[in-house]
Amino acid sequence: MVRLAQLIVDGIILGSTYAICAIGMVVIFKATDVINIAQGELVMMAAFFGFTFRVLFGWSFILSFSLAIGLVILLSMALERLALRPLIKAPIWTNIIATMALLIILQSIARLIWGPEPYTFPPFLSRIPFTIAKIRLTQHDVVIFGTSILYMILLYPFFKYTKVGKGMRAVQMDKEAASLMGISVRKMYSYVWMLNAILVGTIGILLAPRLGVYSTMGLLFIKGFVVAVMGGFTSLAGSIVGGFLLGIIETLAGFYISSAMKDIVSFIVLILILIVKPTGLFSESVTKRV
Amino acid sequence: MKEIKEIMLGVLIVLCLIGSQGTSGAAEVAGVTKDSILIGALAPLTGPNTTSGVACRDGAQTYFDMINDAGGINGRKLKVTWEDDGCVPAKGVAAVKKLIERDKVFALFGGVCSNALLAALPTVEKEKVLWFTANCSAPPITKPVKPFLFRAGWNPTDLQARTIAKAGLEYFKAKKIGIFHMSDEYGVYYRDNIKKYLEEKNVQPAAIETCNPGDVDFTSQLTRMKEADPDVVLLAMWIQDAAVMVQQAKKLGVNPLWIGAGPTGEEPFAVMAGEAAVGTMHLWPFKYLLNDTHQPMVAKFREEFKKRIGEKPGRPSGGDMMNYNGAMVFVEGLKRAGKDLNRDKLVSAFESMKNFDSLLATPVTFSKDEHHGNYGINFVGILPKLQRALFDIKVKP
Repeated sequence: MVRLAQLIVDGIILGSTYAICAIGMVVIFKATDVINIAQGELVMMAAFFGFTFRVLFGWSFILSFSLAIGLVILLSMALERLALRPLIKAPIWTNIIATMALLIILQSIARLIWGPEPYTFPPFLSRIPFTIAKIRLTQHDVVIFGTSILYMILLYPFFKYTKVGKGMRAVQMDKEAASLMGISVRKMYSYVWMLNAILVGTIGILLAPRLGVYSTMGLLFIKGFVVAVMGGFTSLAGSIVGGFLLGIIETLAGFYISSAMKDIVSFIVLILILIVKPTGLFSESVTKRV
Repeated sequence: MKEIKEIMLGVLIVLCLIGSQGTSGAAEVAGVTKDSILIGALAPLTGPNTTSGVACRDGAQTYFDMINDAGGINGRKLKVTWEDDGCVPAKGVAAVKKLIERDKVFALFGGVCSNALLAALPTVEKEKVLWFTANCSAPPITKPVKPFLFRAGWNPTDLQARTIAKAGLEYFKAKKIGIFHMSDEYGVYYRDNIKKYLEEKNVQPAAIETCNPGDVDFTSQLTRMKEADPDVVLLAMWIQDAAVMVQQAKKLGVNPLWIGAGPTGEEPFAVMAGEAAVGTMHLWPFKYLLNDTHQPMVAKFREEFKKRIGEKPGRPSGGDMMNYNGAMVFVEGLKRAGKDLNRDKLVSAFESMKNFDSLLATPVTFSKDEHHGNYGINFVGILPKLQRALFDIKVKP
């Protein structure tokens, strides 16, 4: 029983990082119709910025974290403004290709600046494990999970009560109507990229001490895309449930079936979900006026 | 005006003809000119093996630059073009073809993953280009002898695998022995040879776990490993993956003696894994550790590396020193081939090398029948505060 609980808890912690990446993708997609394949590269850039301030400059973790998030926000907004906004009326495939190009460009830039070698990011919390109800955890696990949950919770009042959040929702529902209501659609595009940068940037810096920092680390977060598809690509709740589900499936499949099979099982489950419910677990209904 | 143009054109054509004659005269041998030798070099500079790839590049380049600063080889400077093979066979083949067919290199150096090297073997054999590697350890690289492949550095993988298995069983007296390996060619080959050795000793592994390169979660494997409760686990993993794995093992209370294959013996593993690396043992191919700076050769290496590459956390590493040492052997071969350089002479020069001593690793001897140059393995242990010590574990595979 303890064993099963440990597997599920570890799956949930892993899944929470997938969920955050997926939420960012969904927020961008709903507002701008862009599927951001370069999501993991923003994670990677945040980790590199954090590494530069923390390790190379020797600044405090909090300062490094804040500056890194700030830089990723600027980078995200610049990418949106320079690379994606000109394609605003282009078909969705054009946008996908554009974000794939961004993936390659960001990886290459990281390699040019920091080199291809992986760097270590010193832990900011103790790595010594402790036990809660016989489940072994580290402070790092708690912070990663806690931050992910906190972000998920904060998104609700943000979208429901803040002016910017409401503006984003309005743009997501109907861009023309939102524009007629005096909401600057272009500004909202920048804001969703900014929001996404905060989400994935945080994950990048929090995971850096565990995974190291290297130019191809963004590829690890491609599963955020899988989770977004699982959740229906339009639902934040779907992304959260999908993230946890994928994390748990991976750890359980790895244990009960085979560790070599865990990715295969995860993707088989994804295909099954899409066969049973082609629009994803929590997709919002789409109605078309004929 | 038209006449002037025609005269200029004529002069240009004559100059081109003279130039091309001069060039062809000096470049009868691909990659060799009067004052330079073009070397193609390979390393994984992207993907999960980047740590080892960067060490391959930086360690070797340090020595090549030293040679150039000292005047080159027989009056010729080394020009080294590095290509990324990503440890992927298709990329390896493309990189080798580019180096040989487009860049026209004289010889090849480096490589970390045997799969990428072996995939490119037909091209190398067709073009008769010598390839020296310090890292690639798959036995088929030198057994049976391939006319153009030479290795001095890591022992062949089958011997390495048997060595760590023997150390676990005989030196550390493991009661239950486990294996944790990558699912790639390297890891599977290691696993099979460990299993073979254990079968010979009538020992059944208590657990065999696998993971994919680039995995970030090892909970399932470690939970099973915990239940099997081996006291020794033999580890055939790349640096980044192993560093993440041992941290999770510590968290989950899986605390066997980890005995690692070559990659995890390198400094970045311990730096990345932190305290979770303490108590682990790993293969180590040198006579000395990197902090044995009282040894002149080690001190010289560290000084040159610092000057040319710079010191970083975990660098220089064992991988850097491995390829610095490899570059010494490679350069020795080039020197022996003489001033009138060609590819046949280079192969003959390598095969004539007897007991060449770099002073860092065991002496290198090649012959027509033996293209693996040296045998010798130590063990390095990671101590508290990530100090390192050589362990005199006498296990001959």
